[in-house]
Amino acid sequence: MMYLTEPSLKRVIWNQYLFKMTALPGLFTSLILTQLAAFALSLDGTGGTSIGFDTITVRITHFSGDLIFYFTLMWAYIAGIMLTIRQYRNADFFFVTNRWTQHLSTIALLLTASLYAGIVTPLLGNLLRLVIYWSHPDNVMTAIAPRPGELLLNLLITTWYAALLSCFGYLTGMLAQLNRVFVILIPALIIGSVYVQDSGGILTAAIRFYAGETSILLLSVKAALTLAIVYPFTMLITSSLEVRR
Amino acid sequence: MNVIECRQLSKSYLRKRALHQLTFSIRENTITGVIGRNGAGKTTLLKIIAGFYRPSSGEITVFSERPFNSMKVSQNMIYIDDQITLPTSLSLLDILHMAGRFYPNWDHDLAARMLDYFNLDPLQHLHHLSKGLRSTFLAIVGLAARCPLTIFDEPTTGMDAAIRKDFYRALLKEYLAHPRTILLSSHLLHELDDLLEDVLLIDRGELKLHLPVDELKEYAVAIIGDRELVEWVIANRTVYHRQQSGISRYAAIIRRDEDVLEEARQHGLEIAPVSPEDICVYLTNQTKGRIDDVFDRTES
Amino acid sequence: MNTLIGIMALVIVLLIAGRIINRIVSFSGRRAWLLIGGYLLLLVITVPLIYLVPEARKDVRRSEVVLQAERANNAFISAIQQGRLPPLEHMHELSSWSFRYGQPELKLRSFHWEERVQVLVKRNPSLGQEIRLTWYSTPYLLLEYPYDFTHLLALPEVELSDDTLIIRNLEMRMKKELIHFLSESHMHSFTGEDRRIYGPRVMWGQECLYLEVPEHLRISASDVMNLIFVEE
Repeated sequence: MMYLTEPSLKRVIWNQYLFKMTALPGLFTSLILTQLAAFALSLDGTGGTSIGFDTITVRITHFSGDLIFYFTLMWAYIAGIMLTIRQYRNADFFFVTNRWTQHLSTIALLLTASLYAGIVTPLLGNLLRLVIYWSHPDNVMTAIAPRPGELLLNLLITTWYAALLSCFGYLTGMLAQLNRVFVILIPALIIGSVYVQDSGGILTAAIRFYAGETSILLLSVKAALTLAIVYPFTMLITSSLEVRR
Repeated sequence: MNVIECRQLSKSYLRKRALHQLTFSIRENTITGVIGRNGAGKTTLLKIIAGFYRPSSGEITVFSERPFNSMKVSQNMIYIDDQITLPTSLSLLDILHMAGRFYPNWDHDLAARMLDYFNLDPLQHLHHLSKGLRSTFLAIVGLAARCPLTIFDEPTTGMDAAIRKDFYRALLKEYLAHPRTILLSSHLLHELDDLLEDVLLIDRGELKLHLPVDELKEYAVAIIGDRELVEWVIANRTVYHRQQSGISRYAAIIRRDEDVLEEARQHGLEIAPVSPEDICVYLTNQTKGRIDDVFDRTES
Repeated sequence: MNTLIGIMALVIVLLIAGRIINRIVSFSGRRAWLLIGGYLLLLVITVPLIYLVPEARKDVRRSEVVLQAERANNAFISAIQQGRLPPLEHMHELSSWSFRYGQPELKLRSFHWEERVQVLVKRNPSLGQEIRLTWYSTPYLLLEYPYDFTHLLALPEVELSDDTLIIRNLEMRMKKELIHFLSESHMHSFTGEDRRIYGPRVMWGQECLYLEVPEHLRISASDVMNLIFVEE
């Protein structure tokens, strides 16, 4: 008789995670491409002012990693959605999984990608500064290098934001799997809420909730709690999804 | 011991009733063919067993557990069909390595040798392969995994006859060397006669019969001869099929019954066996007549 | 709001483009991971680089620079009012020219003169047949940072033609681009920076053309140029 194997949840999650990491490098390469595009666009400056008097005009051009940051957030949201498409979820069932291990391994993947994004985004901003400096050594006014503390802070904040965005993307994608309606409904709700209420609605409130935070500790707590609530919620509402083509 | 137990299993969708009140059990270490026409519900049944779909009503246990969301079932089961898509960045070799991580009984050497035998390049990617080669590769994985429950749903799609024969041989050898419970669905029953132990016949979501192949071979007989005589001999018996294949050659297919056979022989009628495939076709016949009738009607 | 939509549209276009590129190049397995790892490595290398770059860490003590500039400007103004030479050590020497000149009279002409630029003339007995010009300026500062951008001023061309000293190209002197690195907006709540900078505040410098001429040279200039003869 064939001996029945008792599966270990941890092992399965780990193997699923490994599977996804090996099979989906596109998750990371799409980030790289997105960032390169943002980098190229940032070379022109992300804002500026001029001031003048007589024959002297001073034009100040701002450069920052903002564009790269926002592009990365967009990527994170879309990445979260992309991992919910049928093709990828069905592939998991070719091997060993149940719906919980599937979710958990995917979440682990998204968190890994968020960490990667959190590291490369501020560093790419640094590279931007270096490149600008090297091409205009005489014109740079402000210190190029961020204070080391700031760099670490940036890494941390960016990682949290990427994790949050990918989490919301995952929720969006899963809701869409439950019912096609959500594909239209969610973007409509978000964009609509900005216009309906005077203060800008849900979206602005949400942004203020995280972005207005001045304490990194509190931000971390808020972000961690959000993940700890939204992900399990997503897992619960989709626990009876069938493996359909 | 029963690996799969099924009681009054039903599955229906918004508009369709896919499975209706199925009751059966599958014994450990048997090869069962799941036979039926297209759309009969074979795939639905197999996917419920695999834990991919949830039953609408009724009960099903695999390894004494409900298969949906069961880790135990997923661990000890592999499901192979022709619709499997895997991420495109994986090469065949990558897939084999992955399978080795998940399935404890995985035999990598066997898989590698079979890949070589069928001329599959391990560095190629699954989506680049032709349909036949894809099926071949997936079948290899299914065999090499050595899962206690191995399900093949139309595994030979796209394979040419020679490869199909090789596959059946490989399946049999593997099964004999490392026994396991195998469910094999196909609509090419005539090829599987020697391979299968049991047959599960599904028609329009219902279980028509579940018998060992040997019994199926003896299930029905054809009584052949003059029409009136044949009809008289088989009077009141359930007839599965009638066919006029010549002026004095009329065949009626009925359930094997020694009394009737004795009478038929006495009257000089011919008796012929009915292949399992044929009986399955007759049992699942829709009552719209035969294809010939479509043509006959237009002629007259 | 428009920019938000614009950005989103742009992103979608880029992502689609990216996906198409991905498919064409067919990043698979090993090569993809090489790229991913390489990208990370490349960026990690920028960390020490950025701290090693020479001008990278300009630790400016803000108030000190501004104070000095203020002092220089004040000293300049009072010196001019008193007809004296302002303290040149607090001023940037931007450029100097010297010419051999033997004629008794020199005319100064300019094609575009900024009236606020003073022309200071000093008779130097040790100069025989030579005239020397030096362009000085007190610091031009961008107060926020503060950044001294005096060195970016474009200087006029000076040409001696016959008996005339011609100074040209004083118009459009500086359209220099100054580069300011902002930290990302999500960092501002932590660093205290404000994204919205309502125009930079500038401290304008005072410039002068310092002319050293032989003892008995007669100088005349057009009306716009304000000649000041300074004693020691």
